[in-house]
Amino acid sequence: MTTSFQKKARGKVLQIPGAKPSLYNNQLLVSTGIPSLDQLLGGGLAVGTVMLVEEDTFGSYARLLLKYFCAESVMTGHSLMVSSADNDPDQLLKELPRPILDDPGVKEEANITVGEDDSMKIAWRYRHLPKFQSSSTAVKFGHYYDLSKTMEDDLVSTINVKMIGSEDIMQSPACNNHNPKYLHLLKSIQECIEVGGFGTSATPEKRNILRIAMHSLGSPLWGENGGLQPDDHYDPSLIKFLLGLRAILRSSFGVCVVTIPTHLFCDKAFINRVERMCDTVVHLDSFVGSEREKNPAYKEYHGLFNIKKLPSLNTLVCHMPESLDLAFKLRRKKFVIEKLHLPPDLSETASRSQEDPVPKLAAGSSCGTGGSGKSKLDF
Amino acid sequence: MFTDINNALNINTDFLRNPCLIGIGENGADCSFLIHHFISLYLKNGVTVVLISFKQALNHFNGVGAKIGCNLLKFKEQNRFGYVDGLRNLSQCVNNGIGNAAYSWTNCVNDVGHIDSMALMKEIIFHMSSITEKMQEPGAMTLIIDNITPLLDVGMTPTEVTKLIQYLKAHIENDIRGNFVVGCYSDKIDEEGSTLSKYIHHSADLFLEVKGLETGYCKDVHGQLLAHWPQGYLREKAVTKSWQYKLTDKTCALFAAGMSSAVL
Repeated sequence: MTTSFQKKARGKVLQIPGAKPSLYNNQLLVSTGIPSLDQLLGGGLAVGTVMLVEEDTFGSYARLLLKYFCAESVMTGHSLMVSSADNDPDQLLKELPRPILDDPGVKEEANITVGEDDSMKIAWRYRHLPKFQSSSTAVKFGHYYDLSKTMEDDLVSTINVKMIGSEDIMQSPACNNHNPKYLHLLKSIQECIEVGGFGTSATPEKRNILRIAMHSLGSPLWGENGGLQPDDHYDPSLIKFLLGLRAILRSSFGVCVVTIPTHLFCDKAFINRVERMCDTVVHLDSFVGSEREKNPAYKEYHGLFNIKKLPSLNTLVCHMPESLDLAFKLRRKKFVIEKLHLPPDLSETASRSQEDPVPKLAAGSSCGTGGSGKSKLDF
Repeated sequence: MFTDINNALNINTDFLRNPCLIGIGENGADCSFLIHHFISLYLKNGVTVVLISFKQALNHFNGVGAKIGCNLLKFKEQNRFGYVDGLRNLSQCVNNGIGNAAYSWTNCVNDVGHIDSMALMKEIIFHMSSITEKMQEPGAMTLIIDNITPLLDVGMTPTEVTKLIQYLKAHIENDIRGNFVVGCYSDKIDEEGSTLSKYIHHSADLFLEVKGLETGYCKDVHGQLLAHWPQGYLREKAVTKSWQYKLTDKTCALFAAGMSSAVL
């Protein structure tokens, strides 16, 4: 006996390995390779968008983020395109972290549900508060990696990788209104999309996603001087490139992560323009070399992680994270981004030092700006 | 169309039929909910809408329109809604032809790479007239530009962009008798951007500014909305009103500062 019940068909759902549809909107997401970052971005990176990572002072953590992105590409079988003018892109691929497969530790974590409601006898006031979880559990999307080992070469060679290094971009013909290196890179990206059938209008037998990893775009080796030409006029080449990149990606199954050393740009307005041209913007603010390294409040962490912009695609409002006070730490085996929480103040005496140990965190995001208020309330 | 915003701004059919310029400034918070509001407002009141977006693709507007109850595809079939893919057209013309735009604005760019505002205006008017030609009966029309600041970002001078806005405003007010909605970024650090936004603020009949909260990020209050009605030649004080807003999946809630439901 047939029922009149009909499942509401939402159109054919595209099944691409390594990509899942978002819970909030009709958007395909891929993992960045770092599960804690995926959670903060609302599930993952949206296909068809550009993520900008503003590099830390020495660029090492941004490079690490890119390595995770490339490693995830290998694990999911997505095609990869890597460009770098500072180092050989081949070198980046030799340093990918090894995936942790069939790790019993991971499975155990996944099985632990939100524990039994054992009643607290002393701290009963806090019973209803959620348990603090420093790591995400039950990851079915995305992989865990071990940073102390590198990925085997034959695993890396299972996917199609296109590399663009400094020799390729040196050959680009000069033009008078644009940076020829950016034009060459944009043209290569477009060719790669057309040849590989990644455009939304193309119909290949098996749909796949193209991941584009751009290391240190806009560094001096690309001919970039913070948006200024030698005669101090405005040089919009990087902006034009990012506009072109976003336009091409919007009509293709590609996702791009680009790291830019914005700390080298003098003009803050130019940095704002670069940020406006990208969909997701995060900023790594490492403590290396600054006096915050010695600050006891930050002793567990290696830097602050600022989310400056989150995309709102096909929705009215973007994913709103719980908090923007985030920090990252690099352990021996993994890289974790989590909510900044201060270590307990275990000093024996009740006196406090004059200076407040935690300075006011500048929270800049697409939904609210940090004001110019005072850091301490003066009584 | 968000009823809260309509009530707050006192928008009635009179306002919609008279030619006017509405400016939207964005400073630290995302103003795209206002663009979606105006698109659905005009479409539901029988006004044809031409949308030029330099920020998002058509799928995004379709997706949000479906959520807020405004089926853009249906309006497109009825020739009441026209979309110009500014993002792809502009990127193809400034990147020496690299891109896959259906229609490119290559004749707006001269050899040195500068965009000519007159040529760009002609292209936009051409797009608008190609949509109004298909309309069965003549009616009111609105041009909505999602954000005009990318034109500045890719190298046009503020003078050129203000010329473009002035030409379009004159054309729309005199020839078409329609409305013109322009979005821009009003960032104090960016000198050229703030020049442009001040110009739009000065010449608009209604200027809406979307700002972040001074106290930082909050999950329940997403920002502030300020509305300014410059009085023109009347000797009355210009009115400015402000609210705070919270966006949900399908709507926008406006309330006075401090009256958020999370706080009360």
